[in-house]
Amino acid sequence: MSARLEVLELVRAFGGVRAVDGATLDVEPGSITGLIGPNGAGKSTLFNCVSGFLRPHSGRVFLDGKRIDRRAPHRIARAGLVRTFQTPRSLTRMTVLENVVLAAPRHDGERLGGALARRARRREREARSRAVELLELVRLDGHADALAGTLSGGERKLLDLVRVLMVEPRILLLDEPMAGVSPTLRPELLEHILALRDRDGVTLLIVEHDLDFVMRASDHVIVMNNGRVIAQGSPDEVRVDERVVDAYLGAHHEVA
Amino acid sequence: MSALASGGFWAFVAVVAGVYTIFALGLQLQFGFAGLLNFGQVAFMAIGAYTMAILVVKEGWSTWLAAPLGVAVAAAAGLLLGLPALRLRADYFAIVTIAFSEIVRYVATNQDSLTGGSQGTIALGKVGQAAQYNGQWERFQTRFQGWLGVSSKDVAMLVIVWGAAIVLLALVWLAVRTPWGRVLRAIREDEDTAASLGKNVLAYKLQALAIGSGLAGVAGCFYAWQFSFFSPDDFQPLLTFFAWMIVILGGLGRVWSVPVGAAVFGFLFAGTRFLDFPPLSYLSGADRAYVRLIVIGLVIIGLVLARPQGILGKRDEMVLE
Repeated sequence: MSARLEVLELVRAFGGVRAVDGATLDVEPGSITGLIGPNGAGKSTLFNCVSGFLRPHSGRVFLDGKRIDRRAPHRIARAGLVRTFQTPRSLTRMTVLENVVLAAPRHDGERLGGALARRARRREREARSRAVELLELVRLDGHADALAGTLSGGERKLLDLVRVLMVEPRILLLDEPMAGVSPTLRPELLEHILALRDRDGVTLLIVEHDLDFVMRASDHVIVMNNGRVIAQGSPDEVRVDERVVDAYLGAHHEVA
Repeated sequence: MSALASGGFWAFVAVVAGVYTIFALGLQLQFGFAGLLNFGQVAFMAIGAYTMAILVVKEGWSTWLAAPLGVAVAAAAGLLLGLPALRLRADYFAIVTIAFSEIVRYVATNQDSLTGGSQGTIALGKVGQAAQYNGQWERFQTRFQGWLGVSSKDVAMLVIVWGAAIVLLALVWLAVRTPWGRVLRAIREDEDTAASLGKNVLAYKLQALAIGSGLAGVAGCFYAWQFSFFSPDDFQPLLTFFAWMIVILGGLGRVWSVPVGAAVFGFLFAGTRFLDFPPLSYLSGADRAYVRLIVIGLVIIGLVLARPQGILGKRDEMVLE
């Protein structure tokens, strides 16, 4: 179930700016790996390259040993690597339930002409009951038939999270899952994420600026700066790493 | 004013509205459901009509084979255009489609040996011989008229065109309610999200484009049969924008809003012919033709101001971002 992600010497430039500049990292199957770094470190660009939304200029990406860096986003998602976006991307003019059911994989009804098959109707029923379960998990089941555009920003964040679970991912890339979520909902969200690892065996790679969350949730932390990986290790090792402190506070900070 | 009261005239208006319904239904599927900005819909109507007429006149095909092939060629042209063009961003795709529709019209104007050139379908046959592509259709229509027991040819055509329109509307309505239609709507809302959830966005867009083009091809055949003659001038980009007006007037993302929009548009377009009361009657007929377009424009602006979501659209969907 868990998947391993390996990134080798990845480079992606925008004009003269090398947003990702030879990043190499390894995400252990079944782990929660935090990816941190100051703004502009290249974290989001790395996410976009790994999930197929940007083509890397060089370097390679492997999912369970298979090369995926030339594949289209939908093929990467079908292979089990699914990502969320930094800002909520709920489909606002569709209902909350439709948002989740949409994500069901291997659905014959999504093929033109396949919708009439009995198999497709059974799959639709399965997908709907699974979607309702997922919505109950984040207590959005009461809004199932509301348009997703009527949800608050935090609720959309939760909707996006359960929607990717519908795809049955083996590795999830979460881009700032805590951003925009109210402080009261955060402990609950943390629990859901830990349960994904412990109960479902999903590998997680999480970009997050809330360092408190990263240090508490992660088994392993990777630090990026200027498009490269500058440090990695357990949360405790990273916390005291001189290079990490330099990256966040500037290289010439005074130690009081 | 006598035409206003004549049933034949209004039957004719209804036939044209039916043809527009089928034509705009393709655009509704493409834009209203899949979010594709197609500004070249008229090209596929032209391709459908010309393919049918050329096969009948030049190759001696039966109309009943030539028309479905015309529809298939229109759909295939949609696929062929979409394969490169759908890789572009939405606004660039729109530019390519309008360019494509003009290319089709210019080719039809200049490839005399294939299309009869600017003289239209009358020049499809041998030199000095007025070509006809609709003999078989006329016989069918007369027989159908007799079977219906109506006196007007236009009424018979009305029943045929609207029968076809209702069947096609129902098919599209069924299709968009399936999980397939759900993926289309997801792509309309946010194609990156659809792709991130494992949906093959390009494949779905191609399907929507091809089906919509095929529907334009069907409209092209009916257009050709209704008017018994056509030329490249019949396929000006303006026709595409008529379809846009119909779709927006009726309401986006709704199937049954298309015939409503087409009926309103057809009524406005035909009804404004009778603006011959003072002070408008002081203008010459040619000037009045322009006044008529101004009136249509004003009425449409008024309707859109009053109901931005269209006649059958849902306002609560409109205000969400």
